[in-house]
Parts: sequence; structure tokens; C-alpha cells
Amino acid sequence: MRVAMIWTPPVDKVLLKHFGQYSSILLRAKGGYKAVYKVSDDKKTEALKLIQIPPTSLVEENESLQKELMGRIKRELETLKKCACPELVKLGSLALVELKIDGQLYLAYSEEFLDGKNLWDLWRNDPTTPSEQELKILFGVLLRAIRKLWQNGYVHRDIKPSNIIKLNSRQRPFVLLDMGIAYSINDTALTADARCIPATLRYIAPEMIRPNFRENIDYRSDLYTAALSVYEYGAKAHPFAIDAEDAIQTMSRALNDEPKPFVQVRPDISAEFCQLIDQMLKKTPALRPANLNSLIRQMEESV
Amino acid sequence: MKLYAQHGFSNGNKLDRGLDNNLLDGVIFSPRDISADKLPKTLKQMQNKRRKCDLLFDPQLYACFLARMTEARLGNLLDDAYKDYFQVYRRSMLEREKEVKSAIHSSLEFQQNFPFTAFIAPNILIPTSFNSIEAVISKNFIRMTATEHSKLKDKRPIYATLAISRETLLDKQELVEFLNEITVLDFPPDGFYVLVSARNTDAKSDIFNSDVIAGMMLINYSLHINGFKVINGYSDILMPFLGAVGADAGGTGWWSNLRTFSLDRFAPSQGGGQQPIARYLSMALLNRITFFELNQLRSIVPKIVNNLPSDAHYSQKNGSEPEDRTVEILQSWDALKALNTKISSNSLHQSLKNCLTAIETANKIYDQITIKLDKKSQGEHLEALGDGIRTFAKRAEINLSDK
Repeated sequence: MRVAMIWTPPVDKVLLKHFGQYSSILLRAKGGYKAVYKVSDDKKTEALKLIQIPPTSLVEENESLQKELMGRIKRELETLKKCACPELVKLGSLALVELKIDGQLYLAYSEEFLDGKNLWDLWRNDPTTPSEQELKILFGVLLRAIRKLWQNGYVHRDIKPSNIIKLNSRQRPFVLLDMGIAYSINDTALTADARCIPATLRYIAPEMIRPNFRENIDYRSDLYTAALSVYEYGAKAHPFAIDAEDAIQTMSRALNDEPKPFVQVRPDISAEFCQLIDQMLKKTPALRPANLNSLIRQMEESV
Repeated sequence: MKLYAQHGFSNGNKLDRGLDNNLLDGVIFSPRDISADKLPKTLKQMQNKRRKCDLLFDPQLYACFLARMTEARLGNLLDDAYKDYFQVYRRSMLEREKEVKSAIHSSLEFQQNFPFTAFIAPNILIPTSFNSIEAVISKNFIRMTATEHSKLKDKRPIYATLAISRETLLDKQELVEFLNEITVLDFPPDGFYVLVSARNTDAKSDIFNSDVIAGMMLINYSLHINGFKVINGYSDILMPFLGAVGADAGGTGWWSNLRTFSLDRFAPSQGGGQQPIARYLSMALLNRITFFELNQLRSIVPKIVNNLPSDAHYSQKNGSEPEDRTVEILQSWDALKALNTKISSNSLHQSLKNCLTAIETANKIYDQITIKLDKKSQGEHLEALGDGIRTFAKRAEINLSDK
């Protein structure tokens, strides 16, 4: 678990100098090491992802961090390429490029621009409560994305409301983003320090906390976080987290406490669906229903 | 929950009577106890009379390591006809994937020639720990089962065998890790045929141990949650408790070695035994008592009597002694079938509560019994059963107090 450095992404005007093909560039979001811009030219609008690569001279350990970051970006692109499907964000027209802005090294590439809001913003700001049908559609989308990833040997590891975009489209109601810390079961681990667990602590599956988790991680960790996202979006409350609380405490609760049954926070939802979400939140992976085809069929038949 | 006869030596007309009286939903055949020559005729007769009856065949490959012992009691398994798949293996041979594939394939090919309603793939027994060479071999058998089955292009369902000793269930963490692995297979079978072995078939305390019971329940629950059908061979009185957590079927037979699974049954004999005293399975006691205990108690503690049609075989006029030994198993099947129905419910919580209520009731009835019971008839198993259920609930993250 790493603490991100405070970083200010380059302003739009500076970026325009480097990406002359775009007529407009607008900062949309920023995280620990990366920023997302909405970029447009005459024909299309895309999302430009800019990733800061920390200078190796700054701190000794940054050399391995740099290597890790570059490896992750390559894996993210490779994952998106291999797992292209409507449930996952698609790659855009800009292939991976390396650039320097004010002496600082960056990597950049583009993805499709998704005109929608993420579920985190929605549940925080939208007073409407999602219906059972919407939650089932959401869960179905996440299950299909997980199946596609697993068929190619990947575990997403970072399914959470802020990585899910709700679109105003029947064909693509939700899209899962950010394969930045995806785990490949067929490749060498990318994390430089094996003690580090790349994950968002608020949404970490209990088995991921075990030191040897890499030996047997599988898609059931994604099933857990998918159910957790559905729970949080549907209930407008996280089953373990309390706002403004240390994430370590949330993680400890996720490891030791029982979540409040979903039916108690959404009594209007069918017992069957609530039980499924509760079952997916079991701490032992073998207790989570894992037959993806059957689960997907179940979701499709019930909406 | 379905009730299967665990076929064994000296069938006589037991299966016919069990099926004719609708006490059974199927039969798990034991090649040790029936020659391959007799199988087609027996199966045909059963199918002609009862189309809905499930007919299964346990290949018993787990006994293969005993085949080198001159005095091993492998019965018909050593017949030429079974040599198509039953071979003498060394453990090191089965460490090779190729051998495992071949062992599965030949066993399934053998079964394909018969009108069984589903296939049971072979496997070896994991004798001590899930962290062992045998466990690796066993996982390979499980992983390759569905793939080898698909080569037959036969639509009948396929069950993988999971044969483990009760010792393996004592390490909770190893069991969970094993379950984590077998519940996400690239090519999963339709279900599992689960066998838990005791050191010998008389070692009741081997199985009636809270960790063992909790482990058996966790296996059934986890496999069920993951969409697998589960058949518990030799599960006898534990059957309804396993049914409560998702098992689809259980098997039991007419001898003690068909009620508890043990390789002891195939190993050289340790000496002759006596014909056991006829017993009566009391649903209320969750145990069998001798016919003379039944006779002594039935007027004083009437709740020990099941009030099922098969009670007629234990007439008070005859001192509650059954008219012949065949009816003993008919009575057992009748009682188990009724117990399965009594305990199972559509809700897991309710089923578990029914289990605990049944144990509580049994304890109360035992308290009313003032005569000294035979050791096997006593209620010592109830504590392990109750603790096993509570331990299971904890491990399965089920809160028994809510709802």
C-alpha cells in the first residue's frame, strides 16, 4: 500500500502544445499519478489519459516504481486490447506515447470518451434510488466484464463505483474502466515490492489482504468487489466503511465483520437478489457462487 | 434430497424391495460386490420396472493401491471385465497427468457400455492432508474429469469423485484452500460424489467429530453454492444434515461397511466378525438401537418409534425382532427418507434450525431413557453433531441467530 505523492497535472493549455491534433483539451479527473482529459478534434471526442512517471533520481525506490508504472500501463493497454467487449472501456485512436512536460516524464494514450457519470458521483449526488432492475443490469454487466477478463487470464482488482460509468444507452448501460492494477495470472507480477497490495482499500476483497494472495487469486475477488459496488450504489451506503474513517479500519471490518444483509438496507428488493449479493460478500472465495455463465443467465432472465 | 442404496455384498432382494416400496431414488453399484457379467441383467431389470430410478456406478479406483496385497478383499474388482479400468497403480504412476487421464477415460468408457443414468469418475483417496501428493493427484483427477467425459460425447451427467479421510477435515485452513481450488475449474463436472473415510467402519467417533461434520457440511455447502450436484456416499444418518446445506443425494446400505466409508472394507480381513444384532433407526434419537432396546423402550418412551409403515416389521408380538435381516435396511431407508423430508426446507437457515431442533429433541428423549443402552445406541454422537453444525455455520459465515 503506497501513499501517492501530491501532484498537479499539467494545465489544458500546456497539453495543447503537445497534442496539436486536438482542438480542445479539458481536465476531467485526477488521481495519484494520472489525469484524464476530455479531448476533441473535428471528428471525435476521446478521453486522454496522462500518467506521470516519477523521476528516478528523486528517491532511490522510484526506479522500481517507474518500472512498475510503465509495466502497468502496458498491461492495461494489452488487457483492453485482448478483452475488447461492450462492458469494458475501449481504446481510443492515440497509441501509447512518451512525452516530457517541463522536464517531467509522462506517458499518454487515449480511450473512448464515455458520456456519463460514475456511480460514486451518482450515489453521492443523485437523490434517486436505483431500482432492482437497474441493479440487476449493473451486476449483469460487471459479471460479463469479469468473465471476459478471466477468459483472458486477468483479474481486474479495482472494481468500485468510481470505475463504473453509467451511460444513457440500452446497449451499453454501464461500462467498467481502469485496468490499471489488473492482475495477470499468466505473467510475472508487476508490483515491485511484493508486500504491497495494489488495490483501493475501501474495496479490497478479504483474500487479497493475505500475504500470499498472488498464489491463488482468481476472479472471485472481482465478484466480491462487483457485489460490493452494487451494494454501495443500491443502498447508498458501504457495508463496512464509515465516511472520514481510516481505510485500514474499513479493511479490518471487511475482514472480521458481517455486512448488514442487503435486504435490510433495501427491503423493496427481492430476497433472491439480496441473498445473491450477500453471498458474494462472503469472506471465503469458495462460498461465493462462481459459475459465471449461470449467474449471467440468471441476471438476464430476471430483468 | 434423494436417497440411494449403497450397493454391497449379499444384495438378495433388498434393492428390489427398497425400490418397490418407493424408499429409494436410486442405487450406487459397487463393482467389488457384483460381477460385470451380472451388471447388465440387474440394470435392465431395474430400468424396466422403474424408469425414474438413478443408477450409478462407483468405480472404486481408490482401492487400487491395495491391489498388491495378497489378502486384499477386492472381490469382483479383480475380474477380467473390470480390468478395462481397474488396474494396479503405484502412487508415483498417478503423479503423471497422462496416467490420470487414461485412468479416467478407461473408467468412463467402461461405464458408457451400461445404462447408468450418470457417470462417476474415479479418484484416489486423500489419506492424511490436503497438503500432500495424494491431494495433488486427486485434484488432477477432478480437473480432468469433465474433459475426459466430453470426449465420450455422452449427454449423461458426470460426477467427479472426492474421496478424503476424516483427518483431512481437521485442518480448516487447508480445507478452505482446497475448496477454493476445486470450485473454480476451467471444465467443471456436473457434480461431486463425496466420500469421507473413517479408519474402520466401526469407528463411529471418527465421523461423529465436530470438525469432521463441520468439514463435510462445508464441502457440501460450498459445492452447492457453486452450482454442483453433490452425492454423499455412505453418509447414512448424516444424510439429512448434509441435505440441509445443499446435498442432492446420500447413500447408505445394509452392512455397517456400507454406512461408513473406509478402505478397511477392501483391506485384508482382521478376523471374523459376528452377525450383528438387528437394529432399529429411531428418527427421534437420530441413532439406531437394538431391537430388544426398542422392545423395552417403546411403551415407556413412545417417541422413539417413527410411526412409519416399516415399523410393522418390528412387531411387538415378536419382541420387536424383525422377521428377517432384509427388513432392517428397509426400515433404515424408510426412516432416513422421512428424516430427510423433515429436516430439509427451502431456507438454509430453517434447515439448520431444524437440524438443531432435531438434536435438542433427541437429547431430551435420551434423558427420558433410564435403562442402560448398548454403547452404539447411546447418545454421545449428539454433542458432536450439534457442535459440528455450529462450527459449520461459523465457517460458512452464516449467522444462526438472525432471521
